[in-house]
Amino acid sequence: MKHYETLYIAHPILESGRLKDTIMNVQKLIETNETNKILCTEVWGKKKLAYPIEKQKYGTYVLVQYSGNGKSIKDVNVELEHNVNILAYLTVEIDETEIHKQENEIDDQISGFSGDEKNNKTNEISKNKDEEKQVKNNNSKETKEEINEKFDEEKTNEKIKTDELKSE
Amino acid sequence: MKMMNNTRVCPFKEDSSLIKKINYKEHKFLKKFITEQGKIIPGYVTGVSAKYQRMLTKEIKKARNIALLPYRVDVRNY
Repeated sequence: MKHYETLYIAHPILESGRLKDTIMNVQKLIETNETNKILCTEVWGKKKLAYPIEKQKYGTYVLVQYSGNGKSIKDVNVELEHNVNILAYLTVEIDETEIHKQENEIDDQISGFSGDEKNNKTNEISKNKDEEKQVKNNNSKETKEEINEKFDEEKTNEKIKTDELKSE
Repeated sequence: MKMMNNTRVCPFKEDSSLIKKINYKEHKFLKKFITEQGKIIPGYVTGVSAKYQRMLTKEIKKARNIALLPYRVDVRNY
């Protein structure tokens, strides 16, 4: 039993649903040989290629690690070669120490990368919030107390209102 | 030419934790050992010992195969 890993580039056109289909297809392909066992799949996300492949400048990198029979790898590579959705692939033998742990589900990984821009925006927002916090911290404690008092006042007002409504 | 005369120590012998990084997936690290044009820099320039230079070239060539590193960069385009 040896350990192998295949890094392949999926076509950039593929979005969340179809990307998942291709990933699952590759997994099935590897598991057609019963001795093979998939250990981990990682989606690296859409990256710029160092040189264009099939006229594509970008591609989605996916890493699959598995253990199994070396003879089956030839079949896997032949299938990957004829798959239209895969631009390039590389299969390498790895040590046991190099095996990654499966941390997230494939769905989560794909959704995480498809919402990259959103994440950036949220980061910016959080940064702004941090700045605001710092500004607040810079202000003296009295302001905080004042704010608390205001909140208390509001609460009391609300209570009064609700009480009035109840009485009516 | 001053650089050529200086005696350099192999970075991998200085810091053994870097040996782990000689892997085709660590293309950002491997980028240190190729020129702007994408050529592999010889060991006598970088000071990398022969053992690790052999490992480096293999990993760089793997990374090129999967488009993580370029085969060549045309500098005129920039």
